[in-house]
Amino acid sequence: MKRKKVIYLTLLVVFIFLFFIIGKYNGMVEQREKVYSAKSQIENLLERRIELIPNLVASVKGYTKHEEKILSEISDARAKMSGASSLNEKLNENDNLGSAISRLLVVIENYPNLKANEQFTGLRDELAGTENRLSTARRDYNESVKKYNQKIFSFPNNIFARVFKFEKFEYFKAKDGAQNVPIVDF
Amino acid sequence: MKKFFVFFYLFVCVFLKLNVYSYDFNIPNPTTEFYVNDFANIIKKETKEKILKMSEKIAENNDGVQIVVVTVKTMDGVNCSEFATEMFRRYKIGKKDKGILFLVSSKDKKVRIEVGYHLENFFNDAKIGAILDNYVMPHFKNGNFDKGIFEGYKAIASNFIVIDKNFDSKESEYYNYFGILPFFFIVMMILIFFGGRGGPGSFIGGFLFGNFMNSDFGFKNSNNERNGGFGGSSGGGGSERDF
Repeated sequence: MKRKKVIYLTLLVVFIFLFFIIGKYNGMVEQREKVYSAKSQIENLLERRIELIPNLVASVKGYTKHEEKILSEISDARAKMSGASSLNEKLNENDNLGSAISRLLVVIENYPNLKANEQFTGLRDELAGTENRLSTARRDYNESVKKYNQKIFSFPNNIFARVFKFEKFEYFKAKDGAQNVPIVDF
Repeated sequence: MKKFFVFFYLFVCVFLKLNVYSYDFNIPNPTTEFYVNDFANIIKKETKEKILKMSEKIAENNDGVQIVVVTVKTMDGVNCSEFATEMFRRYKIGKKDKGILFLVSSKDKKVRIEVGYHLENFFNDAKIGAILDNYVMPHFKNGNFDKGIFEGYKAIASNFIVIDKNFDSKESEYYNYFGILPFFFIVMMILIFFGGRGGPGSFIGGFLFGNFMNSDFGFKNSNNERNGGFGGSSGGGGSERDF
C-alpha cells in the first residue's frame, strides 16, 4: 500500500517535471522561430532591393550621358550582392550599394529634368522605402535575438537550452552609413 | 566578488527585463480623439473635426482601417522614419495592420506618411510620395500646414470613402444615450415599486439597474469606444519629404 503511494507520487512529480520541460522547450522554439522569420524578412527586402536597381539604372541612363562610372559601380555592387552567399555578406554588399546610390543621388542634383520625372521620383521613393524597411527589419531582428538570447541564458532555461542545443544568435550591427550621404570631392 | 556582482547584474537585467538596447523616443501618448493629435497646434479646429469624422467613418466602413494624423513640434533628433514606425507601433494603428499614420514635425520640417504592413500593396511608397508631392508639399511650401494636411489626408481618405458635403456639416452622428434615459428610469421605477418584495420584478429591476450602473450611464459607449488603435503594426513603409 505504502509502496503504491510512493510510485504514484514519483510518477506525478515526473509528469509535472516533464510538462515543465515541454513548456520551456516550446517557449524557446517559439522565440527561435521569431528570430528566423525576422531574418527571412531581411532577406526578402534585400531581394526587393536587387530587383529595383536595374530600373533605377535604366531610368538614369536615359537622362545622363556622363555618369557611366557611377552607374557601373551600382551595377557591380548589385551583382556582388545577388551573388553573395551568406546574409552577412549580402548586408555588407548592400551597404556598398547604398553608398553608391547615395553618390548617384548627389550627382542627380545636376539634372533637373530627371529630378522632376515622376517615374524617377517614384523609384527613388521605393528605394528609400526599401532601405527604411530594411533598417526596421534589422532592428526587429536584433530585438527578437535579444529576447531569444535572454531566454536561453536565463535560469533554468539555460540547462534545457544546452541539452536541446539551442544556440546563441548574433546581432546584426546596425550600420547607418548607408543612409548618410557621403562627402563627394569634385 | 567582482564575478558575483557581474552575475548579479545580469540576473537583475534578465529578471526585470531591463531594456539594455532601448531607443530614445519621446513619443507623446495619443489624445482621446486618437485620429487627430495636434501636438504642434497647426491644424484648425474645423479641419480636426472633419478629419475625425472621416476617420471614424473609414474605420467603420472598411473593417478597421485607421488613418491617424499626428503633428509634433520636434522628434528630438530621431530619424523621421524610425520615429514614425515606433509611433505607429505604439499607437497600434489599424486592424490587422491596416493603418496609416500622417506625421508632421514642425521644427524638424519633416512630413511622413507611414503605411501599415497590410496596406503596403495598395499604397506603395511611390504612390505615397506622389501624394506628398502633389497634395501636401505645394501648401507646406507656402506655410499653409492646415490646408496641406487636409488635402493630403483627403487624397488618402478618398480611397476608402466618398468625400462629399456630408463631411462639412458639424452635427455628430453618434448615438445619444441620454435620449433613452428617462424611459429607462421609468421602467426601472415601475419594476422596483410594483414588483413586490422578492418577486421577479425586483429581480429584473435590480438586474437592469445593476447593468445600467455598470455601463457608466451610457457615457462610455458614445465617447470612449473610438479612443485607440486596433492593434496594427508597420514595417517602415511609406514616404517622407522635407519642407
